Amino acid sequence: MIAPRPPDPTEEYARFISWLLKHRTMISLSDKRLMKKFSHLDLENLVKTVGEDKVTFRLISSRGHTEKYILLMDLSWAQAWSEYYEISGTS
Amino acid sequence: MKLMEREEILIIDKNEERYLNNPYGGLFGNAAIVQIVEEMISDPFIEYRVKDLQELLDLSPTSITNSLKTLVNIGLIIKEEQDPQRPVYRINTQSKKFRALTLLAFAVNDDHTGSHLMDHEIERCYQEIVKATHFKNYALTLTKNDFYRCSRGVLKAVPYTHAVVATA
Repeated sequence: MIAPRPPDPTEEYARFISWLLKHRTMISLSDKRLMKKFSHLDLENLVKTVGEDKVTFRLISSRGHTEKYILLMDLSWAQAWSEYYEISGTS
Repeated sequence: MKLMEREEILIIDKNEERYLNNPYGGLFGNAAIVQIVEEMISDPFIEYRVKDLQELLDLSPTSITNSLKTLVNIGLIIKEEQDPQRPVYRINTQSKKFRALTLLAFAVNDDHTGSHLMDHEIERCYQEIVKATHFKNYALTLTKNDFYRCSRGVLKAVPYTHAVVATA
């Protein structure tokens, strides 16, 4: 299989990206699922490495409560790398 | 984690909050079984114990156990009892329901963002699975670059090769 268009998030981060793609593409950094499953990942480094046009942080406020979220920005890029590393399970 | 000064705050309304905080954007509410399904579909190669799901989802052991029993009965997940005291559960990736729920996760994004993830996944499944099944006596090698034409007429390159070698 030919690699999708860069940047390559690497297999380690691709699992997170694939997971996020099926969680409405964004999640609060304080979410328990994120902290338990992906606490070993350096998400700041991911954003730096792949660029903010692919993955980014946003402050999101709801009912006066503000939290920092991580968001997928380029969904087709995320899907392509998820397929490339065969993480989604549908291959 | 430090917040950067230049970051702007995005204010969301109730509908957006419901979308963000409920499995499948709130399509099926927020029942324990739906939360478990979304979590397991999203990371299908992981084995889950009741305790894992309890920690991830803040659900009671009873509701998790009951939900898992239902999901085993309908064939979406598989229970493995090497240690009968602590059985592990994993997604049955051969189940068509698994594939359909993956498509649903993409459809939820597509409706929300205008992306075309579901269409791409359908195209890929067709090329890699359906075609291979129906024409299994043929070796099918598609071109290097498959192109996916989105509904608005924009051509997007999906640069990977489908190489399906069928068995007789």
